[in-house]
Amino acid sequence: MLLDSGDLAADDCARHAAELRSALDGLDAPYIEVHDHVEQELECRVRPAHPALAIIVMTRDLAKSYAISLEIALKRKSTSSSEGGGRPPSSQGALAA
Amino acid sequence: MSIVIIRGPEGPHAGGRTHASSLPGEVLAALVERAASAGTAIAIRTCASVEEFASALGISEREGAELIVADPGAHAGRSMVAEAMRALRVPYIEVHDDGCDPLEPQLEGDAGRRIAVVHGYAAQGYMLAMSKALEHLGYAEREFDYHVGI
Repeated sequence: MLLDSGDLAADDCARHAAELRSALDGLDAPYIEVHDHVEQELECRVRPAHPALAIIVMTRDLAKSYAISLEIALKRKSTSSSEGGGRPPSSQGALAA
Repeated sequence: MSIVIIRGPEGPHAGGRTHASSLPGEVLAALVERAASAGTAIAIRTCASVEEFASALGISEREGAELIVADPGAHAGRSMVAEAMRALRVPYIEVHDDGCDPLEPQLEGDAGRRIAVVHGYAAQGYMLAMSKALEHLGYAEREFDYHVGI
């Protein structure tokens, strides 16, 4: 999943942090955050237990952020398909900052 | 996010908005896979100016990066960049994705918490930096313990 949360206001993000965290933690699939500004990143504001596989930020170039993220996702999907699939490691959450 | 990769602007003119070029998709995907295989994750941030690069270093540290891979491009000699790198309280690896002469300048003198410099291997320098980062953080031995399929 590619996740572009757009320009969430800091206040809104703080007010709904629990719901956002719950939504991210409930995702079965690995996800990549896609942004064009560093302050849009969700992970540092929401601190989910299920962290992003990667966060891609190409400043002021959202199209390029998408292109890179999609390339990573396709590569990963292709690799996992050839390996037979499986859930992402639950340990990622414990190790992420 | 444990490991943060920050790429500065391309070209010698720091004031311009010359966006950092993208790393090859193969390299980006491999970096993400290696981090996931070690049970961690990465953020990749590219900056369009030295001001953004310096700011991204500070933001990444405040947000809890354990280690930063910093590519200042040709701007390591600029005081704003040098001061921001020296001021980091988390370890960092200086990477230059140059591959031929002349090599880009690297941070001179006091380099703060820099643990390595990678020069002259083009985009593959990032793979070397990732190896060093995982080793430094103690994740290297876990790299092949996880299955990372979807």
